[in-house]
Amino acid sequence: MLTLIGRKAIGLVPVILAASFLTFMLMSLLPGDPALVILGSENADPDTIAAIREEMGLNDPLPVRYFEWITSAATGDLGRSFRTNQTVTDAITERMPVTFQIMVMALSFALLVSIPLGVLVAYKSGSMLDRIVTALTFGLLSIPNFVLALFLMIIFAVELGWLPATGWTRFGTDPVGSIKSGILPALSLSIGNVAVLTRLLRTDMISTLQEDHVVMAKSKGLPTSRILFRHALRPSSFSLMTVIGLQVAALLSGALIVEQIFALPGIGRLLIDSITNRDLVMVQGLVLFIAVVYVFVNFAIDILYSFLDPRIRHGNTTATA
Amino acid sequence: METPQQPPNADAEANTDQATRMGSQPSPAGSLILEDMGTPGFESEIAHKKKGKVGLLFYVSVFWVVLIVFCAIFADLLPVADPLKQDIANRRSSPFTNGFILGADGLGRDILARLVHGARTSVVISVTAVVVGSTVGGVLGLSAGYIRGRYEGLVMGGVNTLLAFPGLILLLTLVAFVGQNLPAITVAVAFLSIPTYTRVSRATTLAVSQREFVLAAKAMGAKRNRILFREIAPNVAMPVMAFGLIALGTVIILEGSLAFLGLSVQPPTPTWGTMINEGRRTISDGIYHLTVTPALVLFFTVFSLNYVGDSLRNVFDVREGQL
Amino acid sequence: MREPTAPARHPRAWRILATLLAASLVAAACGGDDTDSADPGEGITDTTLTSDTDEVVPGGTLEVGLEAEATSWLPGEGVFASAQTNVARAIYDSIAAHGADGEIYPLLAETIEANDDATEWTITLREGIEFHDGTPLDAAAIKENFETYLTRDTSNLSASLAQVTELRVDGPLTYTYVLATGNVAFPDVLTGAIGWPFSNQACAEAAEECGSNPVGAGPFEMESWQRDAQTVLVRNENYWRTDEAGNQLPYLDSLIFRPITDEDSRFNSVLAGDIHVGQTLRQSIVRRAMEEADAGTMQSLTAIGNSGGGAIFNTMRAPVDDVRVRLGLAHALVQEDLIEILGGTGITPPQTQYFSPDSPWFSAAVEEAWPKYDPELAQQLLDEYTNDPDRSDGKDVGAPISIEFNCPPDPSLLEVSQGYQAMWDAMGVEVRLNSVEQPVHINNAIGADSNPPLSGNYMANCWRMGANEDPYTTLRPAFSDPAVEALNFTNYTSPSVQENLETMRTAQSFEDRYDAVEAIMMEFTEQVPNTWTGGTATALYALPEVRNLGGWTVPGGHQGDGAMEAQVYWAEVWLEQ
Repeated sequence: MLTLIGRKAIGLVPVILAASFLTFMLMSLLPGDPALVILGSENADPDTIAAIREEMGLNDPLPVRYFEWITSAATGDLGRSFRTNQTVTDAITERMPVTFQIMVMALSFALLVSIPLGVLVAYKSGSMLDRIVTALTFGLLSIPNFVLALFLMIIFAVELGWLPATGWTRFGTDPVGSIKSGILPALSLSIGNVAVLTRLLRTDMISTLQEDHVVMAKSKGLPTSRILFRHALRPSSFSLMTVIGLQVAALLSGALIVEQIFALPGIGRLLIDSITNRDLVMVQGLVLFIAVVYVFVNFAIDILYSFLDPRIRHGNTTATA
Repeated sequence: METPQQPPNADAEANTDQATRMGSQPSPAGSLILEDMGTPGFESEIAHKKKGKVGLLFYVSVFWVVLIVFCAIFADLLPVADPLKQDIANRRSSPFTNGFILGADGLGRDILARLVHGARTSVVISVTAVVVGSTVGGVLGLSAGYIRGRYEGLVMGGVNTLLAFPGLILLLTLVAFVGQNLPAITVAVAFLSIPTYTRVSRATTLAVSQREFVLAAKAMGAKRNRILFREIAPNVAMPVMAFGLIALGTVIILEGSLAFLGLSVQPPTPTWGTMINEGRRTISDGIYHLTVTPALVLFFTVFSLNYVGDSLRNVFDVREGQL
Repeated sequence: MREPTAPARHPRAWRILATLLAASLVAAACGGDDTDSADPGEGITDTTLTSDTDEVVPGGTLEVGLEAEATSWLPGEGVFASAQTNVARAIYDSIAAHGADGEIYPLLAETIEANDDATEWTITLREGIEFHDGTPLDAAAIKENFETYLTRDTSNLSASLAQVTELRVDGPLTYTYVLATGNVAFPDVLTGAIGWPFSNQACAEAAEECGSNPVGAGPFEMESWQRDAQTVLVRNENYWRTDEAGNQLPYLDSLIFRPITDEDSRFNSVLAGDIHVGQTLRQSIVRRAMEEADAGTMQSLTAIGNSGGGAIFNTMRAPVDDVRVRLGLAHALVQEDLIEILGGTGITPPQTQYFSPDSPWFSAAVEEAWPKYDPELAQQLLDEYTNDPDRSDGKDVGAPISIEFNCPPDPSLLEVSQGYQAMWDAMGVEVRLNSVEQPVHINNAIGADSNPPLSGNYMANCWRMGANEDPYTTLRPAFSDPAVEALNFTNYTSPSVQENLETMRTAQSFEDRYDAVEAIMMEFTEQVPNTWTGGTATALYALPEVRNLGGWTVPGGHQGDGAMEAQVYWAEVWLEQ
């Protein structure tokens, strides 16, 4: 077991390295001089540009720069942003809680809706209700989240005044305010997940409901709700967990647009800003961070799998990592 | 060897992919098709449903998809206005005024004409991206799943690298060198969707390889290539194609997200995403049709594709289940 | 993303020697007290220029939405456009500030004096002013600011300060900027980043983090800065100013600035009451704000400065190197329609020169001479070029002219560039639009690696021109010898332009300088190095309970220049409780 984990962990390193190297190359290929971003058009004096390029080390050869970066990254030093002079680790620690909270809220909301709904339609599969919910989930999947975000803001913030239109309150300073400021972004982000999870649960439960132990429970005359939630939902929650784990990476990217619209100080907004401003050091650090999160979430799920289902331990399960 | 848990796993992978690539919203559509792929419970679910029965909604959806494809192909021949002709005096005209059936946009261009021509962009991007992505990804996944060993490690390593890397950067680089045109964006979207298909195809290959008929063929001494192409490939192709069908909708939404970030096809070429994005500034002026109309067309199209895809999958899969 | 601002400089200031302006601005402002009742229909420039401090209630927290986040708060390190300047003015105070009458008044300084040929500018600071950390604001501090930070290699102010050969300390509170050549417009720079003194000690202690821990002498000190979320400022108890009644300034307890980049989201935030004040440089939002003000739900302080949008041509690139093409393209534009596309009809007047009609430098003769929409003339000029066997782009006679037009992917710029495309297309000109991100856009315009060097890697760019500062400060870099001046984006210059620039630098009388400016503007009506889309209206929009937003003053009872460029000084703003 431990060797399996170890072997898999080692296998992750090249993936992270490759992703970060790819970023490094592509960002360097992109036209647009980071020195100019620092200066702005009004101060773009060639001598100053040259001085700044030198200071930023932009004149060194690419492989040298990458090597220097990755070696200091290995020691936990991701460098300082060209643009803001903030350390990349500070930026990540400052912004991660925002994105994380939005993601957790979005997932909680999705689960809150999709579990009862999924169980219900699995139980009533083939019925009118099932068909309506199916159509509804497809409907939810067909709404682009930036359109939804705009309308949610107009309805709930401007017209009704129930929630703030933009901005972020830190959970530490005001938990209630923080949750309020996260509701609209989380809603916009979760809508697709509601559909995915409902559909997943429905299919999964339909098959579980036909398995022996459930049929047995039924024949024993246990109440329906008990059968549904104890005997059927439990095994299904296993695959639900898997999907949720993997949704994390997707949500992180989905946060990109939502953070922009609701003016949230999260990771996604920083990534866009840093890319458009050619803030190489920041982009590098963020991509590394995202890659590590992605890889580790997958890794954790993989390991969790092996623990929960001994059959896999001997098979090949590198599919997800 | 394969376990019932594998498929939801594959499903989840597929689901995250495109979104992760493009930095867009999660593209959940992709996951729906895969959730029950190859599961033992799957056939019984189909049996449980009334086989191949489709409702009115299915036909309406088919009609809509056909209509959109028709518009995309014959946009130039249809009796609609010039989608680029501006009429500043009548900008933001409401529907049914000043000779605009669906109103005019911020530059006084006919919204109906732009929707019809915008269908072309959506169809071209989605169809090409899906065909290219599923073919390349499908073959990669199939070979990885069958050949295994070092080759598999290499392919999946590449796939994981692409997945762990924000597609936005790749897209920006491509656009910077090739220009913000339809081919560049299509290629970028197609390329970024390859990992998804690779995973789907590989997971299915792994599952199918263990099925009785493949084992039987092996036992009978069939050649490796024969097994791959005659026994496995057809059974892998079906789910990959079914996945692709629903991914069409995902790609259309993706175009919208790109437009929101100013990365879709260069204006003045009409695309639905660009129309929504250009129009959204008028919402605060209390003018909704500039945004809502293209958003509704996009909604109906994606919905129809999902619904048709889902229904067809049931029909397809029944056949597969009977193999 | 912001519009490219060129050749706007740091001190987005008003101008010296301006007297005509004062009349028109004050006239507009005195029409009614806006901040009081959100009085509707004040006209275009309804920036309140009278103070509204009779019934002040001190205290409270004001939240302001800005269009962008800062990269750093350290002068020389950060880029200070309109959004960041608002914050910087609250933290630092400036050595000088622009009055409503167009004069530059000393703020942190007691006096600002020049020698006869304007080569030496001597500043005497006010006594007893301290930075937030208690260190004194004196000549020595200014000198250290200047030498250690403002003029170091990587400082983005070093180009603007190249004209200063020495900063000489004359006494404890007196120092002199010694210039290489005389410049009568010099005090302009003291109203912006160069004129924001900060504590050397605090900066040295913060080392690399100096840019995120600014310590100035302004009315508010920084409490916290969470990037992209909020900058929290609290009142400086030891602020050096009191109001006329002797009350300690600032009135507010704290001031929170929030960067909300999406224009609609920012506007919605004020509508929803999340924040009190919003800032915009977008015509459509200015219009919205004025409509809300008419409805009584908001107040809007609108101002038209000298900056305007348009297209710049690279006069070294065929086919726009040919004046017939540039003139033809200019005659093909319907400026009213372009303004309408931006949503600026009735707000922004058509622009014909680097100055808006209420600027003292504005010339009616230039306005008259600027190429108007004239399709026949446009067609004739363009045809002349296409039928010229020696046409500069080397194409066959009769082949259509093709233009590459680049713009950053901002929604309103995208729309207006499509307007350009349609208007030029109507003349048979093929126009290809390219969306180019901001850094690339600027890169292209400078063209450090172009051939010849600094000639630029573009043909036509959408661009923003002009600034509320002395014309010399604006026009010198923009139209000096393109071989050495990176900021001459159009590469246009001529002996007569050079000569007039020289007059603007040295002449002491307004009339002489005005004539020089007018001559350059007149030359542009024939040479068209750029076209104009329209002026840029800016606004601060606010909830009715915000008082005295634009009514800030300079000691001595001088009214400030209001919310010019959507930026104000915050010490005298107060909140109705």
